[in-house]
Parts: sequence; structure tokens; C-alpha cells
Amino acid sequence: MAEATHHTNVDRGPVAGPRVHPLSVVTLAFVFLFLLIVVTLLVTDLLYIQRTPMPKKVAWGAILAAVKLSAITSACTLVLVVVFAIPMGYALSRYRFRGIVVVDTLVDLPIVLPPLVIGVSLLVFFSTSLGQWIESTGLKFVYTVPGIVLCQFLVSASYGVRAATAAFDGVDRRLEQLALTLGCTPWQAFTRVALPVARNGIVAGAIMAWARAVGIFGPLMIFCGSVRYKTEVMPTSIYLELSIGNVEVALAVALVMVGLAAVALVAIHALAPGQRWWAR
Amino acid sequence: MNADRRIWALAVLPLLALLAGCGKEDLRCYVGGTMRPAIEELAQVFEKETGKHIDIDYADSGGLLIKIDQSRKGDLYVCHDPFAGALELKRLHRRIWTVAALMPSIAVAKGNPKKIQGLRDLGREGLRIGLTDPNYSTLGHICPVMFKKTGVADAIAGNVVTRSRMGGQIANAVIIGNLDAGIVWNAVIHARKEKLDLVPIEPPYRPDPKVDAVTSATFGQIDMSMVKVTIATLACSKRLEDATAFAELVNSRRGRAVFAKHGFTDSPVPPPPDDPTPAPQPNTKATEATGPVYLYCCPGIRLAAAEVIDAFTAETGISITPDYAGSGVLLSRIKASRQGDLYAPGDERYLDRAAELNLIGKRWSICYFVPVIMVKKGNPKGIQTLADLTKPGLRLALGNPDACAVGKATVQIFEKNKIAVEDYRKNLVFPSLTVNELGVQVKTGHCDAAIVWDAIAAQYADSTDVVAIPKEQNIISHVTIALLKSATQAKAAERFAAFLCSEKSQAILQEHHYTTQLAAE
Repeated sequence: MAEATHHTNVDRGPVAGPRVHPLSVVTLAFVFLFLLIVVTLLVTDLLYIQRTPMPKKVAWGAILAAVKLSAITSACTLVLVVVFAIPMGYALSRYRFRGIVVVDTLVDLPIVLPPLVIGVSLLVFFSTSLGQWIESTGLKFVYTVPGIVLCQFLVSASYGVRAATAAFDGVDRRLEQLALTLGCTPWQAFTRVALPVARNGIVAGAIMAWARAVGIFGPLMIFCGSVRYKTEVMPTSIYLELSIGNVEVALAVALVMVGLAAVALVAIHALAPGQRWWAR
Repeated sequence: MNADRRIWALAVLPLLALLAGCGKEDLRCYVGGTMRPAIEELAQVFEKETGKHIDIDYADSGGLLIKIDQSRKGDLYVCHDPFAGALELKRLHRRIWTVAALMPSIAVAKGNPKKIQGLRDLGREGLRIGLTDPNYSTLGHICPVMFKKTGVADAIAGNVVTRSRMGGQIANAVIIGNLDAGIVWNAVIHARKEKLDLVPIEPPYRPDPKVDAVTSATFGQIDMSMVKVTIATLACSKRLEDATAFAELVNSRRGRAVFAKHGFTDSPVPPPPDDPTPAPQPNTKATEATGPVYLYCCPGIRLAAAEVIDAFTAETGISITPDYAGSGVLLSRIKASRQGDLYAPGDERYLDRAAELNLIGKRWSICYFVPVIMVKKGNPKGIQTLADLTKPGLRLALGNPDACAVGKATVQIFEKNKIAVEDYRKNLVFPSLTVNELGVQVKTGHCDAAIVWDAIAAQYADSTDVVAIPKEQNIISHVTIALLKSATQAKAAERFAAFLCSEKSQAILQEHHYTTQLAAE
């Protein structure tokens, strides 16, 4: 989606103006078919909520708290992912060393692991003496809000790192070398050349990571619990409501999630400078 | 770069909010299954009366068990059978109270549009039925037993379109309209009472309290007719006093009333007598023994016990509630709950241990358990002696010595005959929590041999053979019943114990191949 390099001799990005052509018709048809499925599901959800009277007693306060907690924790996770993804992506893209294949595989591992396993693994880790020691320092993770961030981070970081690596891979190394010859230090070449050029790819990865972080649920149930007003995030609310048959409330929360996600995605795009997100 | 600064500034805010959110720790109550609405209500009552807040952590009961085991945090655990048994086996509990029970029921859409009146109606053509998966749910085990009794099991099976892991999902599918009916717990339907109607399952089709039971390697024996809802205080609790206070509130008549309000069936265990609001006693004459008598019973004598109980109830009108589980499991349950009237373990040593703990009073002898080697029909592996059980490649099923009497006896027999643990352990493929499961393993051919009680082997005589263990090598268990100190139905319990020793009962036991008298030395 995002163009990764700024070669003057490369023409990437959209074709100017509308074109009607067998190729455009076929490819766009797939776009609209997919959209049709997604929109149909959303509309059915809406209709279901509309025709079902809301139950008399719904813990809206708890659900609101869950919305807030989801926003806060996923924002923290997003920051952590970006903090890790930029240096990791650069290192994995630029440096070759013995065992890099192993490192690469391990970085991808959390993507393959079922999220539930990450929750169980965390719980098991914090029952070891090392884990106990960490908790005894006052840095508590088991059944706490920082634990939610930890789970979200572990489940989603790989996406950010993978995207950042690909973004740095796409940055022409000659640009950095040029900056060095013009008097930049390696740090400056990184922050002023490589990073801005790779930014779009990193933002795309951060979005992926955030989307995954905000949607996870399995590891949280195990590692953080589903305590209302404390460790209940939006996916937890959906689960808790479904567990007592409040299908319409669960769907309503899901639609709120969709809405918030849309707002967040637009915001991330808007904050990423140099990108005319509104015209894309 | 300006925009990047904006991003960082925004990033710090949530981190600060996060740190501000870390508060003090409250009482933590793990709540599984369908008990959340009732426990939430009681937690509010508790907070109002004591000012102490309770965090309710809800998930499936099995997942919660993993959390308790791993985190060693938390104070209380509310679940239904069989998870309290697993909690006990792992020794994660302090005390367990049985506060309510669950009953299988039919969930239909509000207004019952398909006019389903009972279990047999589920066999009607064209219905879409949802059940729970027998691999994950107790109820999934119970359904086939009930269907069989209707005589239209095949028709019902033909209508089953989904088997879900959790009953809640089935109930939700009925709400959404994907299913016409589902079989779930009564409380699951009650939690959705605005959208679902409950059609009771007729008593004749319900599981029989004395016959229909399943055993599982993880949980021991589950009595299908009475799936109990329990609250347990946890061994890891750092606020045991507060936790116990809440458990006692849940177990009180007040707490039980909340469960009843949420559609649960009454607990088989009577509420504590020192309750501030005692219910009127229907019969206060001490001489009139009415029951029900709560009997902790080892599954080894289940078949005969069921018949004896029927005979006793027919004769005296006193009902007996049997609770079948491995003898060791039962002992820790008695220790923890200090409830119930009688305890009949598979071996006298359990009673000795109970006596040391001052849990029991008078004892009566019932019968003897003679360990035998059970092998497949025709003895294809040629097993003749105990030593043959260590032959390489043999697949053994043995009782778990921590859980059941036959397991304990097995270890002692090997010891007595100087057969090393590692020699037979290498062949052990199925460690069981109860003796009944061992017979099934040999019968189905999953194992080549098992050490079981003589009477259990006799139940499988059509598909298995017995290799006797010579008397001098054997260790015979004496099955004895004892009156518990906690008995609230002592008179009725004593009557039942005496009845067990009567000629009538002994004849029933013999009919089921139990050894009631040892051959003269």
C-alpha cells in the first residue's frame, strides 16, 4: 500500500484519473465483492440490535470503563510496539550475523503461536522464582492492567517488527550513504534519512499491530482476568455479555469497537506526516 | 519531525494513566460456568454489609483452574462438578461448600413456537437441536443417557445440528434463531429468561441418581443426576477469613435463595444449622429419622450400593444421597466440608486416617475387596503372575494411589512381592482415579491388564478373564462404613449402616459378586 522508496526513476502509486478497462473492472470487482461481505455483516448486526429490545439490566458503566481501558492499553501497546519495531526493524534489515535465521524465526514466533498460549506461558513464567521476584519488586503483571499491555505487546509486536523490517529493506541504502558523505553521522543518517523514508511502512505495521492488540482476548482471560472495572477490555465485555445471552449488547459493543477502530486508523494516518490520507 | 513529537507526547499520556490505575488488591473470586449473575448479586450484598469489595473473574471453569494452579493468587473459586474434584486432587482448596445444583433442561425460544413439551418431542422431524460436546462438558455426557430412556434416541440424534463446547453458546444460538431447541443447564436458560423459555425434562428420563455416572481420568466420578455447584476457599488465599465469610454467606439460606432466584436447583447438602434465619423444621421429633442421608461412597461398590439404597428407601422411606468418588478424594472432601452423614471408602485405612482426624464415629463392616488381575478374554498375553505384569510392551491400567483405594492396594501388593516401582511403572499407560475406569480400559482393549477388585472384574466377565492373586501375595481391603461426626441425620444414617450389614443387603452384595466373608484361614 505505502510506497517505500523515493526513487525519482520509479513510478509507483495510483494511476491518475478514472480508467475503465477490463483489468480495472476485474480487480475493482473483487474489491467491491469483499466490501459487500463486510458491509452486509455490519448491517445485519445493526438490524439485529435494532429489532431486539435491549435487556433491562445492562452494566453500561462497566462497558464504558472497558472502552476506556481498551483505548488506554492499546495506545500503550502501540507506543511500545513502535519503540521496539523501529530499532529492531532497522537492525534486522541492515545487519547480517550468524544465526540471523534463528533470530528472524523467533521474532515471527508470536504470530504463529495461538494467543491463548501466550497467556498461559506468561502465567507459567510468573509462577517461577524469576517471575515471582519481578512481581515482588512492585512491578505487578498477573491480573493487572500492565499485564494487559504485556499480553497485547507480545501478541502484536511481531507484526510491527516485520513491517518495519520490510520498510527498511525498501529504503535505498545509497540514500544513507549519500547522507554520510554529506557529513551526517550514522545516527543522523538513520533519523533523518532512513526513518522518514521508511515511515509509511512502519505506520502500516503499527496499525496492524494495534488492530491485533485491541482485538485480543484469549490471553487476557487467562493472564489478566475478566474483572469488571479492573481488567475488562472491549473483547472481554463481548464475552461477558454473550455468556449471559445478551447477544444484542455484545454486538453493540462490537460495533463501537469497529467505530473506534475507524477513528483510530484515521488518526494514525493523520498523525503520520507527509501522507495525504484524505486523498488516498 | 513536529508530527513525531506530537506522537510521543500522546504516547506518554496513556502510560501515565496506566500507572495511575494500579490500585490495592481486593478479594478475588473466580467464577465459572453460569454462576456469575448469582455471585455478582451476592458480592454486592457482601460489599454492602462488610465494605469489602470482591473482584469477580469469570471464565470457563477449566481455564480458571489453570489460572489458580499457575498464579497461586485469588481467594475463592465457584464452579460446578467436576471441577471442584480437580481442585481437591491438586490440593488447591481449603474448604468446599455445596451451595446449589444444576438440572438439565430444554431451552426453546420465547413463547415456545415449536410447541416442544418434553424430551421425546426433540425427536420430531425437522427440528434443529443443539447439544454440548461430551468431550468438554458434563452435560454432553448426560444427554445420551437421557435420550436412550426416551426410546427415540436415533430420531433425536438425527436432529442434532451442532455440539458446542459451552451451553451458553447453544442457548445463544436458540436466541438468535439458528436452533429450535438446545439442552443446557436450567440456570443457563434462566440467565436469558427474557428471551428463552424453559421446558423441563420429565423425571423418568433424567439421569438415575444411583446408576448413571461417568468417570473421568481428570475429575474422578461424576454423578450425573446431581451436578453440584460449589464454592471453595483457596489454599493460596492471603485473606482466608474474608474469603470464608463470603463463602459462608453464599452457603447460607440467604445465599442459596439467590441461587434459587437465578434458576438453580437446591443443593443436596442441607444449609448450615447455625444459620441466623433457619427454615421451619418439617419434623422436629428426634426419633423420626427422615433423611436424606448424605453418603460418601467409593465407586467400587456402586452397583450393589444403588440396589441396597433402593431397598432401604422402599422399606423405611428414608432417602439416601450417594456421592461417588475415589476414597481419597472423598476423604479430602469430608475434611474440607465437614458435612455429610456416612463415609464408605474402599479400604479401612481411609477410616483409620479419618479417625485420626476425628472425623468419624461408629463403624460397620460391609464386605471385602479382593484384588485380582483382569485381562482380556482368553488371556492373549499369557499373564499368570504379578511378575508377568512387568513384561516389556505390556499396557497396564492401574489405580492412582493418591486417589482411590485400589491404587493404594496395588502399590502395596507390588511392594509386598518386591516388584520395583520402575518395573511396572514403565508399562503403566492408564493411571485411573477410580476402579471402574480400569475395567473399561481392559474391556475396550486399550490396556492388556489391570488390577481391580474381584467384584468389578465380575461386571466385565463377558469380555474379560480374571487371574487370581494367591492369598499370600495379596492384600485384601476391608470395606467399612462409618458415621461421620458432621452427621445431621445420625439416626437415619445409623439405620442405613445397620441395614447394610443385614442379611438382605449382604445377599444383594453377593449377587453382585462382592466377597462378604473371607474364606477361613
